[in-house]
Amino acid sequence: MREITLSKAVNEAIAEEMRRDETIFLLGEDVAEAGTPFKILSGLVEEFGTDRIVDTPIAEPGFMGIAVGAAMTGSRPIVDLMFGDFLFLIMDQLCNQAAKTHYMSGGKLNVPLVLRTNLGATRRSAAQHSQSLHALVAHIPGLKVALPSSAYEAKGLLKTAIRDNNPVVIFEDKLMYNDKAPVPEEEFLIPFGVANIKRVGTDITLIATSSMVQVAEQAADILAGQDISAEVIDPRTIVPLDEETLIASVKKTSRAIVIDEGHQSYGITGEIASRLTEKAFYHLDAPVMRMGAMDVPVPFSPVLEDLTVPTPAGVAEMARKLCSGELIHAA
Amino acid sequence: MSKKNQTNSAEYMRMYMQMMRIRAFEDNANQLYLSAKMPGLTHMYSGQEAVAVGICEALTTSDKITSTHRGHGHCLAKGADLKLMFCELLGKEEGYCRGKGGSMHIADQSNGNLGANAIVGGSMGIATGAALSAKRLGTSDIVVCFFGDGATAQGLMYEVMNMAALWKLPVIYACENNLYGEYTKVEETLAGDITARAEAFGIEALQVDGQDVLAVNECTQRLAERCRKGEGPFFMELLTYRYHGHHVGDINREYYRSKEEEAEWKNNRDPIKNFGAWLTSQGIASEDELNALQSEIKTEASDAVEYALNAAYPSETEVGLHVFAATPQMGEEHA
Amino acid sequence: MPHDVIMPALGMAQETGVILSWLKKPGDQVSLGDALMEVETDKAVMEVESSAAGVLSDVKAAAGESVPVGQVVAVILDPEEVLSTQISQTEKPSGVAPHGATSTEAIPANIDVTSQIVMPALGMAQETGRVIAWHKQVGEEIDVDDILLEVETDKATMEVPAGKAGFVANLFVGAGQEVPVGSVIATLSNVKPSGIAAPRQPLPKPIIVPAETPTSVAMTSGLKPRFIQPGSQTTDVVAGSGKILASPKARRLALENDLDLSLLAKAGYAQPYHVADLERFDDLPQLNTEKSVLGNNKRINAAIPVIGVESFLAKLKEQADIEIYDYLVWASFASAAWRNQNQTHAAVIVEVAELLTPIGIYENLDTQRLSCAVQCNTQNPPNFIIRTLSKSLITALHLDHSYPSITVQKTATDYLISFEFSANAMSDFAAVAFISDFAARLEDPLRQLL
Repeated sequence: MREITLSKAVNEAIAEEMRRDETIFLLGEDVAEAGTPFKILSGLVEEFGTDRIVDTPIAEPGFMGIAVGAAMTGSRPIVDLMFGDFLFLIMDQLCNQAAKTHYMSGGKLNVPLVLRTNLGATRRSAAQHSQSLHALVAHIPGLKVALPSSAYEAKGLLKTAIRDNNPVVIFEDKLMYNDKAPVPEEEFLIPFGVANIKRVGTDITLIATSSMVQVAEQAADILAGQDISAEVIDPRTIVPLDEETLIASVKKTSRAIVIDEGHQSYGITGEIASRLTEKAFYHLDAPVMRMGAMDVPVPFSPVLEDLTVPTPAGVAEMARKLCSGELIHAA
Repeated sequence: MSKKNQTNSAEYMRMYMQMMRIRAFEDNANQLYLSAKMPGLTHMYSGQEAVAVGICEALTTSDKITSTHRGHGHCLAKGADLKLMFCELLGKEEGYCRGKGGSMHIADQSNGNLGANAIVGGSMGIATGAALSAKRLGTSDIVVCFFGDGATAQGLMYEVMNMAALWKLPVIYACENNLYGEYTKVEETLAGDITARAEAFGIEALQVDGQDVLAVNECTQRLAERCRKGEGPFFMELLTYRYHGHHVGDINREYYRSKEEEAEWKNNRDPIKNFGAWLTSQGIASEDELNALQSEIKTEASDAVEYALNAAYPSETEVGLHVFAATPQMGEEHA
Repeated sequence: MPHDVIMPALGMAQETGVILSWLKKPGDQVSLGDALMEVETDKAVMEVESSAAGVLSDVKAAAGESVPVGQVVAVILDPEEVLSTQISQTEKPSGVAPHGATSTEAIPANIDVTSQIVMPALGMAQETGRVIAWHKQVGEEIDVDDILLEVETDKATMEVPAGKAGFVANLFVGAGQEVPVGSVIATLSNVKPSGIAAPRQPLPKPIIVPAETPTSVAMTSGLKPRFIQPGSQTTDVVAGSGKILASPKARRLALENDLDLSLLAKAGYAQPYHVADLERFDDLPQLNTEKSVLGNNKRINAAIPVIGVESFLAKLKEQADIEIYDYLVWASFASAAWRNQNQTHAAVIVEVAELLTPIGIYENLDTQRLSCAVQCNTQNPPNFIIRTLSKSLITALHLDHSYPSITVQKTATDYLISFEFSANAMSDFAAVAFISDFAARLEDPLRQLL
């Protein structure tokens, strides 16, 4: 199977969908000729024209609001939000307007839009360009949230998002745009709410999202060398979340760690860990642990920044402790 | 209904009746609140009827509007039914939003009303986006964005006017300047001129007497036509007045507004009274006919209230419905 | 050099004689020429006189028995030899008394005797010791001077000899574990355990790590890190406090399999319990059936004539003008009995109380001069408690005690001794041995003097 970068996979998904459906258009900053600063969208404006690949002024609330209105009236916009950190600028239009319109109108108005943005630290971009804020939008009823972990997921999830009749926020890991993965040439979609068991194991379940999936896989390799068999699961979407697969796994292994690049407190790890504890309680032989980014604004200095995210060694050590019955906190 | 002939008496009468409907609706809604029969708060449009009616009578059914928290007038003017509106205000299942939107989010999708908005200025992006859709999809629809003087302080307005002007979108920004933003005079919160703001983006801006329904209507018809030709966007500042307080509970308001001022607008500048006088003077309708119409509409309204009061609430299962829309093309029959 | 007392030949054709009665008791001081017993021949009754001075001991035939002429029926011991005399563990009603001996071989072979090996105090300020390695396995024979285990103190690693001979019956502490000085770490038996399984002895006192001294987990490299050795982690949860900490899965599996997690706690395994800890129930099957609850539920009573102690005390007063509290005498005798039964060099700590009011704690009272006995300030728990009831109208105390507990009530003629202990503290056997030893000393304090 051919291997393509995550960037190319995103490009392909958008191009394929835009060919298929004329109501789809894309707007954002520097999306046309520049193809975004990450060069993901290169070539699209040449094929689809400036009517459908629309450069906007630097007015995030404005073009987000416009996307909402367009979506409500027959278009299917894709919004490119350059950095996930800019979510804070568009929260009213995304969470008060887009998320709630279908409900507030009693089901009469739809908002079929896709917000494409990114997450991920360790790029030395400091605190306001390195955040992973998917927990904020996952918290709002009416928004779906997808977290691709490789080029394969990026293409399949984006196509599904574009075809979904709801506002979908999809976060790409900005560190992975140039990472390659096997991606089929034939059309494929990845359904929302279906987790992917990347590795089968028996001793502990590692649930990881987005950028943390490869961290979990590398940790599983380390653990295999210590005779500990780790199961690695990628939920792929957190709204909707495939609880069933996660819970079945934890019931089997009796131990779990949830790894996510959002801050550890009040985030994805806490939500998923809580659901596992609720629904697999009588099968737990160890506390369900959360491993997220440190609860600090992302520091600039590389030495400090690298401390703030979970690492394969860190995950493996936590898993080893849990498997040995070692207490993480005093009993 | 075609709006080609401006001198059509039937259309004048329709305008008169629409204004009366709005006034009757608001009077009843106010009563429902005062008699503790209506949950939550609502915001009265009484006094501003000529704006909504004058503008909406110049639009087609498929033209879109976005509304504000003071949205009953826009909703009715765009063709909504009294019964279904009262049902929505009372949270009943038959309401326009199945009881899930309420006064501040009331929407009437079939008549092109994209909804009231509880966020000040919150619908400006939506209106502009609707205009973008119309242009892209070639529908020849135009969009009117209603908002108040207070919303001109919101950054979103400038962002979207900028883009509307850049992309020449078919949207009319209609600013209802009723001289007060909540409890504060407009002079105390707005620097410079309202129309100058639009002109800064190269958008043609007009000031209109909001209490004169014919003036409003005539202006709108011109601008709408130009919009459909691609000459938009446009900006209208409509000078008007709200008789009630900011919301139904804002009853003692002398601290920010004098009774004399209120009386002046009510007695001398009431749009319905003045238009009625004009209709009579033009021989289009007699005073008796107008009075008869008034009773008719009053009855219509109170019947609608009665209907809504007796209508059923949504079943409990409604609470979980419509968080997500179904996506049938992917085999999702339910979200 | 012991002098034999034999059934004399009392007639030409006589081959046996019947002992009509003994005129002296074992332990009695006898002088040369004292009448020891009445013997009947077919002709007449005659008294047999002592041919030596000393202490009558090891009486092997009781009154009424027919004994062949020339057979040794008793021994007269030199005073120095008294100290090493063992009290018989059980005296069969038929009067077959074990001959005097200095080792446990005196005990009839069909009786299991378990000795407890405790963590020795190897230094002055040492309160705990870590077992580094066992040199013998369960079932192996061991001699008095054989090295049983290596212990690490804060100073060095030391080899500890068994101190007694026998077979290793139980090893309760794993390599790498740290336990308080005085806690039981192993038991020896005089008989080889059948198979490899430990003999069915109730467990000794639970191993409790003090709450103030948390020890971090010492994971020896190479061990498959499946579960932590019991006792190596902090817990404030002492067996009996009610709440057991366990993972939800462990708790559920225990419930489903009818396993009582509190038994793991009583056995000294540190909480919280994980699924792997449930395997402990396999190792110690008696845990499943042992219904012992904390608190003493076993009791032995004894009655001893007061005359022995009282005349002893009277003599002291008369001859040396020394007055000693009677409870000190009891505590001293009990300490001696404890030491004797456990064959231990470690400190024997006894708490003395009047009813429930503590009087004091004494260490090694059996080696102190009672006239100037001093209380000690140890942090270690006592091996047992001795409570006098003699100043009250209360005749017995059957309460929950944390330690083996002796109460002594005095009547006009007898000491009424009640000893209460839990199955975890000692075996029935050890308890009977201890009290018998103690009672014998009370009965004849002269043994103690020497």
